[in-house]
Amino acid sequence: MSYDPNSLVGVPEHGQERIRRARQAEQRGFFTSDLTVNEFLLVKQAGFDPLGLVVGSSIYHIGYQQSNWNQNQEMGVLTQAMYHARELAMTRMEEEADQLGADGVVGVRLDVGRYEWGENLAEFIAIGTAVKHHEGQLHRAPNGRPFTSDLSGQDFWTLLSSGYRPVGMVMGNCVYHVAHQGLRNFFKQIGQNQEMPNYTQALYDARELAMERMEAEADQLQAEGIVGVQLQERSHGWGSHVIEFFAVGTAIVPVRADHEIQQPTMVVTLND
Amino acid sequence: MPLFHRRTDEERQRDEEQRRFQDQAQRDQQQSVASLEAGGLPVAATRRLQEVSSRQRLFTSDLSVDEFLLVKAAGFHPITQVTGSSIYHVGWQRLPGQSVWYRQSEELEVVTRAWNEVRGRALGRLRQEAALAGADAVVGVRVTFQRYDWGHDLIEFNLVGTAIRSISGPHFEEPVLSSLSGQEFWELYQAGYMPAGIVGGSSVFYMAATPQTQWSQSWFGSVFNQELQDFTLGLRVAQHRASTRAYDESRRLGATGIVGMRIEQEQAEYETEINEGQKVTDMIFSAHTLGTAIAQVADRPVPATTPVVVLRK
Repeated sequence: MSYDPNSLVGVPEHGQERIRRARQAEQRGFFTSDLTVNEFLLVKQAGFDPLGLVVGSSIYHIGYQQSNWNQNQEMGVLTQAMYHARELAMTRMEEEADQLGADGVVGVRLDVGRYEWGENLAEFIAIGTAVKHHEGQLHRAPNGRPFTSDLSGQDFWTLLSSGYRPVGMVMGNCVYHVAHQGLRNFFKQIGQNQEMPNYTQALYDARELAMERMEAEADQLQAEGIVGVQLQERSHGWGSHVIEFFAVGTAIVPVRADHEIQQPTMVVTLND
Repeated sequence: MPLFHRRTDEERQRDEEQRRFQDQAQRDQQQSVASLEAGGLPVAATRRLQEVSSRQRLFTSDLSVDEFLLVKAAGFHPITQVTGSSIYHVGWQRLPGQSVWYRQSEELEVVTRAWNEVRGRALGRLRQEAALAGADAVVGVRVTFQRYDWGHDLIEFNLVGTAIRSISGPHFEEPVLSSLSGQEFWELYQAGYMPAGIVGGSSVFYMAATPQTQWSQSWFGSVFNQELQDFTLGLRVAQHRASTRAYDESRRLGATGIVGMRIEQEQAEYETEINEGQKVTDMIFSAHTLGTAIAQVADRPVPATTPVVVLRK
């Protein structure tokens, strides 16, 4: 999906109304955010002001793909669907942030929900707090979009004070069909202690593909690295043999050469 | 489309390309399976890690920001996430024969070996991946073991961690594995310790019920409070054997100790008939241990600590 900072396509009427109001409120210095008090203060200390809560969502119909009963293979159609839907949600959230004049979005949560009323439907939703720098320093990603990160306010503060900044959330996924065991193999292993190379290979490959795709995204953002990678393994109601691996993390770039942090001291909390 | 559609060159080329791609995927899969059978890594993993070690810039890690900075402060730099996993089929286990006169308790050899082997294979792959990436150590290894719906006799052992390279810290010939967090790694390093490797052990023990316990299982005996000494002992034996295996491994690594050792245990009841119509409930105890062995690399005092009161949890 191409990115248009002035676009509000896909945002419902009430959403547009909310954004309009948030923009007016912004002039008064009013904001909404899901940051905790600690996070709020740390984000401010890092030089940013929260502007408002931004949301992007997409309800997506996931197509059907026939799998080979006895073959390990990637389910391209499903991989594509799961990726595209997440991208739509993220892009809509970024566009909302742009409408508020934000530099980026912190504390992004990316969830997949399924409903009873739609068997092949899934809701993809991205929520975060839009922030803007006090002195108008540009903090965007190289592709012009506002930066996104799933880091907490505390992590955001620590990262900035050590000479790095987030450029964007990067993700990769892979939906994989794990082959059923053939009859011949079944007889071969009856009563035997042995590794299952077929299954091991399937899960290994799927995980590697998801990670590789995430790394490719970070490469595109010219990032130095990715922190806080989460690797999720879920079967979104496709039956037990079809599994999605999803890798997501925050890509970071250095803003200065030295990344020395103050020598930490060890403390003992007297709280229980 | 007309009935006799003559394929254009372009279409033919596309089909050809697709076939080539599928053939390649098939070949890769076969090669991966062969490599896994020999305890090695699948093709995709080898390829990704070779690329990682040849490229200097991009790193990936599941370290949090704090952990990332602390690992850097200790003189290391993250390279990439590494994984090791193995799915294992547990073979057929003969249970010890039971009779009224002779009740036998013993370690269930096949199941025990399966657990120890699946852990060893997954750890071996994690080490191979780290070595391919040119790492000195692996931190923050998280362990999951699970069973899938599609196989009751299958165990999956799965490890994910972050490979790190030494910039100004000590170098190692073989990457050392650890389940320490970034914070713990830094703390230990301040005090002059480095991880030596992840160690663990498993034991599955079959404990036959003694007459005392059988009596307590009967209608009359169930009234009284009493310790079941046989089952207490069975659990203790399983724990002891699992810990001893971890301890032996750490000795082989030349470690000075093990930190963060976790013992997980399970028990299952097993009902057996020892005489016509006389049923007895025996127990199967499993214990699994896993921890990080550490070795002293320098004689440094533990840094001073300050007590603080946090105003909010």
